Amino acid sequence: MIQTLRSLTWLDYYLFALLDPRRLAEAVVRAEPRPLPLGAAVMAAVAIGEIIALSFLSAQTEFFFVKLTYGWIFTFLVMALKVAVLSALFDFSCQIMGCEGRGVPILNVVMFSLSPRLFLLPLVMVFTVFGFAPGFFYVFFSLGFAVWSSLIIIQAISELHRIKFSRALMIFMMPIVAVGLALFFAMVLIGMLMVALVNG
Amino acid sequence: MDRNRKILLSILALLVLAVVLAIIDISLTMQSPSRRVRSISSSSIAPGVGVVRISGPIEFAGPADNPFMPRQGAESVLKRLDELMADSRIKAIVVRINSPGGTVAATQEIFQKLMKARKGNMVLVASMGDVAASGGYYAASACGFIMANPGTLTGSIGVIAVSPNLKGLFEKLGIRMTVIKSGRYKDLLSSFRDLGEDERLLLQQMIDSTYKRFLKDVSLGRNVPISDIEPVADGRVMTGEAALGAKLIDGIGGFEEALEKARKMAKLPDDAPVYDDVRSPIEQLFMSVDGAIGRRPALHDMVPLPKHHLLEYRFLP
Repeated sequence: MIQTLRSLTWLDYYLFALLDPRRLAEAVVRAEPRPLPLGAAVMAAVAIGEIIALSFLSAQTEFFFVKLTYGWIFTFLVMALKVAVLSALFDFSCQIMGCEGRGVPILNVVMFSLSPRLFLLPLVMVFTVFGFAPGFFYVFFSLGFAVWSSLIIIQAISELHRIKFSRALMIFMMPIVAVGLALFFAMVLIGMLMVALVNG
Repeated sequence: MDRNRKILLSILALLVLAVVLAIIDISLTMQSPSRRVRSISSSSIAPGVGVVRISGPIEFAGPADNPFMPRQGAESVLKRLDELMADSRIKAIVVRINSPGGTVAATQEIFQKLMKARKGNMVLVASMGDVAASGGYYAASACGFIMANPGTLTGSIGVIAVSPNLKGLFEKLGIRMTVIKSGRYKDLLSSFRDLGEDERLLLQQMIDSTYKRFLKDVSLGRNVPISDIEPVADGRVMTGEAALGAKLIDGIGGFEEALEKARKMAKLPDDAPVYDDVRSPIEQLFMSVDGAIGRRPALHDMVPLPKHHLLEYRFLP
């Protein structure tokens, strides 16, 4: 374990996630060192960064310490659930498109795809210090990092299944569209139920 | 590859540092005694008292201004006043003054802005710190109520123009200045020669007229006849207690008392929020590093060396 840490080979996952997602896909398949705990570390770091960035933007009360402890664990668990569900959906989508199932590598890739979000806190801090629309830039960078994460996943899927980028994009979009539609219809259904309840 | 790994490791270390700094900053901010004080950009909607600070020499920002930092000097005061006047939550403004005065134009512009706010039914209370003399008092006189500490140095109603005469020194050193000018008064108050009688007269006329303007504005702001101010308007500086006796101020008290007075005058509840220009510890650190806030005084702030300002409403001890 100490030898692995000293060798700095574990850093390659983060390096590939940020600079070369195709090599990330190769690395998670090779699994040297094991990518799962390193991916979980990304989620943990992103969770703490999100909590601190949001606290930086809002009123600062003693509740911050609750957010930093229990809130961090809760955010981490929610993020883990989200990553697991998304990975399952991506893998399912791959199989629909005729590719073989590769659930575990996709799960690892989705975890590492969160890496760009680590830069959110320092950016929010800079804009808060200079008092230059930190709220706007929080949303702006969040969207930017979401796009970056999506590109990491798409390229990694393309590499994992040896398929074209456009096909990988379709695989990526299918669950997103499906979840979006499901949420839309759920909202319509809830709305109709509410109207029915109000009208007796 | 090894080099890239090391770079990434450094970036990760910086991210960890950012997390630690942010946690320290948030912890310090919440433990600060001024927690009841809110920034004007806070989400609070409760009506309250705004604070504007006039600190140091009053003058329009100089070359230290840069586009990445907040404005300094009189510009920042005027901007802050505009913000407060445009904010519907602000029912009263406490003008915290800690200034020996400054240039005529900058002081007059602040006075006019404060008078405009007062005419718009904004409650204005001046709170004097260590010193609120000359131009500092000029600005305070625009407020409906002036409060000073017993030991505050105030007064110094008057105008001054200072220029050292270095002619003797230059002669000793064998230095002669060559001046080519378009008119006889173009190098008025030059440090390299004696002041002519006609020049003295010209300057005196300017000073007298600027002084009269000072008296007129103080009379307008304080709502008292000029004849009541004139006896103490000979440039004398006085303590807060003496100023109360001379009716230059309305009460003795510190910043907290000024806030209470502002709340009372604006008919706000005792716990009405204060909207100050709040800065978190990290912001203060960054601003100090740049020198925008807590700027070390320049040489010309410490000794009255010639500056480009001819006339000043300033207390020069």
